Amino acid sequence: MYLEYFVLGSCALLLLSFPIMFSAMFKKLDAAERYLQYSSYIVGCRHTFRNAPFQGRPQRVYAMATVILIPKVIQWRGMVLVEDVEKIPRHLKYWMVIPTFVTCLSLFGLIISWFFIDDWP
Amino acid sequence: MQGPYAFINERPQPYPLLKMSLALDPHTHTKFDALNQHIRNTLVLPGQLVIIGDSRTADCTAAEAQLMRSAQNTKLALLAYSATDQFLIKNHDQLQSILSYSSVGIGSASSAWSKHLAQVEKTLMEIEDLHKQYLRKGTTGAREEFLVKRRALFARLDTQISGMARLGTGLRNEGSIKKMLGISSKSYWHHGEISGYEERVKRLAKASQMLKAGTYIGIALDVGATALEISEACSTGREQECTQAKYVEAGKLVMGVGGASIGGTLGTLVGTSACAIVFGIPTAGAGALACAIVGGAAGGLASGKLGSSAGEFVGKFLYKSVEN
Repeated sequence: MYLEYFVLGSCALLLLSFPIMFSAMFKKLDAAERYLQYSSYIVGCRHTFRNAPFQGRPQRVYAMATVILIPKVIQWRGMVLVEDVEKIPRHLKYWMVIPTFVTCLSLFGLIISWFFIDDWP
Repeated sequence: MQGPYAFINERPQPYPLLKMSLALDPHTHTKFDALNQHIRNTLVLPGQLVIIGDSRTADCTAAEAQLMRSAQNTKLALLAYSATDQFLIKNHDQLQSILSYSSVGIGSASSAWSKHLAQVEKTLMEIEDLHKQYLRKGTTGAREEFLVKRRALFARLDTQISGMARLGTGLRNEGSIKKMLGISSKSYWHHGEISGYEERVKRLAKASQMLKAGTYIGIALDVGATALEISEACSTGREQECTQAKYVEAGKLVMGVGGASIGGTLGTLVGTSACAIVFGIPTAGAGALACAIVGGAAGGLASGKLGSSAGEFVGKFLYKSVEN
C-alpha cells in the first residue's frame, strides 16, 4: 500500500521538477553562468547543447549543479577553478542544485519502485 | 448501421481488396466508390480515411460530403509530408498490434499457450463477424442485438485475457491487450470525431515540416495515440473501460513523455560529463556530442519506459481510488 504512494510521490516529484527547472533555467541560469565564464566545462557544455531544445538550458542547469556539487573533481580535469565556484552566491547555488536534486530524486524514486513493485503493468 | 461512418485504414492495401474485406451490401457498392474517390483504384495507405455511406439512401448526404472533404484533406496532408506519414504509420494502431504480437510470439512457444491463443483468436473472429453482420443489416433492432452479443463476447474475451495475464508471459494490462489483439482494428468514428482526426493529421504534418525534429513529432503522436486509445475505449456499451482508459492512458502519456524528456536531458549531460571526467574528452566537439547522443538516447528510453509504466500504475491506482 505504501509503495503505491511512493510511486505516486515519485511521479508528483517528477512533474514538480518541470516548473522548478523552468524557473531556474530562464531566471537564474545566466546570472550563475557569469561566474564561471572561464570554465571550459561550462563553455563546452554551452557549445555542445546550443542546438538542443531551449538552447540546452536544462543541460546547462545540470552542468552548473555538477560543478557546484563536485568542483574538485572537475578541477582535477582542469575544467574549472574551485575559487570561481566559491564566488557564486549561495541563493544561485541553491537555484542550480535544487532542480537537479528534485529531478534525480524523482527518477531515483521511480527506479526504486520498479525494483519493489512486482505487478508493474 | 445508421448514418455515414468512416474508419482509418491501418495497413497498405489495394482498394479492391479493402472493399472486398468490408463485405458491403451489393447495392451500396456504387455509392462506396463515389464516396471514396480519394482512394479509388489506388493503394490505400495507412492513416487514410475510408467512408462507409448511409445505407438508407442512395444519394449523398451533407454529412457524407463533409466526410469526403475530411478524407481528401487527410490524404493531402499525408501525401504532402511523407515523413509524417511514416510517423503516423509507426504510431498507428498497427504498431501497437505488432509490438504486442511480438510478445505473444515469444509467449506462444509452449503448446498450452498456443491453444489458449487459438481460443482468443476464435472469440476475436466472432467479434469481427458480429461487426460485419451489423454493418450489413444496419437497423435499430440489429443495433440492440449487436450490443448485447458484443458485450457477451467481450466478457468472454476478458476472462481469456485474465487467464493470459495469470500465466505471466509479459503481456500488459487489459487496455493494451484489447489493442494488442486488434479488437479496435476498425475504429468507426462519428462525423465529429473524424474532423478531429483530420485536424490532428494536419497539425502533425505541419509540425513535421516546421520542426524537422523527431522529438516533437513523437510527443504529438503520443498525444494523438492516447486520444485514439481513449476514443476507442469509449465505444458504446463500455463506459467503465472508457473511464479507466482516461486515467490509465493519460497517466502513461504524461509520465512517459515527462520521464523521457527529463531522462533524455539528464542523460545527455551525464554522457558528456562522464566522457569528460573519466576519459578526458573535451565537453565541446564531436566526441562530446557522441557521448551526449548515446547518453540522451539511453536516458530517454529508460526513463520514458519507466515513466510510462509508472504512469499506467498511478492511473490504475487513481481510477480504483476514485471508483471506491
